[in-house]
Amino acid sequence: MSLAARQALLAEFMDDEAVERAVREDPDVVARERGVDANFARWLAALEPRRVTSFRRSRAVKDRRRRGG
Amino acid sequence: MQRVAVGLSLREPWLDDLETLPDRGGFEVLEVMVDDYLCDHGPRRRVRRLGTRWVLVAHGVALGIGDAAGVDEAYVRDVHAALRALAARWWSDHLAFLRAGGVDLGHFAPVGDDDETMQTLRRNATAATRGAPCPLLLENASDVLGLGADGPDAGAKLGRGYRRALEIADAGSLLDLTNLWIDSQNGGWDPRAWLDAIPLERVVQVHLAGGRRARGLWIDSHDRAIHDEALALLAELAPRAPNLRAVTLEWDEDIPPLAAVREELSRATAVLAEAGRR
Repeated sequence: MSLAARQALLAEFMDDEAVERAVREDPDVVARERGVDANFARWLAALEPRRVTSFRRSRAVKDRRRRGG
Repeated sequence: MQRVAVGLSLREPWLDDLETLPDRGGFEVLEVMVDDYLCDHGPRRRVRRLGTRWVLVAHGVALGIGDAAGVDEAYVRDVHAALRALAARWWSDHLAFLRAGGVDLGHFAPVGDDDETMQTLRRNATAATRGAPCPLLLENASDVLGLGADGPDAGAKLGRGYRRALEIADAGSLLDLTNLWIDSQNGGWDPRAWLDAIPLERVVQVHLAGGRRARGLWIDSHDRAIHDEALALLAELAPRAPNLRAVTLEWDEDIPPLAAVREELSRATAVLAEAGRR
């Protein structure tokens, strides 16, 4: 499994709710398409939504801070 | 063991008060956000002048040492120039990845402890430290996603991953005790098992802060007083970390006046005194 592919999937999962939906619907299909280990895709698919929401909120706060807001 | 300095992560609202303090105000270190001072302009020279009274150490948020695509060499050159201009004693950033698949997360995403990740860390650390004027420390970033944080021995397993990363990058540790406590609460594991698994001789600096709880999860919001539990971890760490040099307090949101954060910092100073490190 390529580290670059695994990181790309995690980043896109956090950045794009459509990617999150696709992973949650069928992680094995996404894993095959993206060339990542199925266990990693299943871990992403099983992530509690509140953890994903916390990450996105924290990301938004840090982004605001970087922009001086 | 050597006396441990205490200090603050410098925030812009405190600058005027710091410049007019009649003395060092009871602390010896200022941690500077190096990403804010990459350009040689007035603000950097203003902060440099503070270095005549306080030891300056640098902290960054944009290195991405875990990025599979590598670190940005132009950014690294700018950081090194800023470190020289500030005469920073050391430089820290987060053990995390930031950019992948065309997405700049701007936030710390967790790295694993597999061999490919370790090779990436080695390569990126080499690129980041070649020609650097001071040592690099890697901070345990808080991981709200909980990568690898499953199972009863998660604390020890995650600690071993941090150890492996520090050793392969040949980096010191900026140990964020608040992040450690928050992650252990969110993951239901033992922070002391994590501490037992890391190379304590590599710990150079400690971060303390306060987080908040939302939807049953703690986040490192840096907008509260230091958690008592993080101070308890400091009390246990201080006698066991022979190369610990500084403990600094971070505050990023709802920033209080300088006098209030100095008061908050005095709680950490008292813990260090009790441990014989002040």
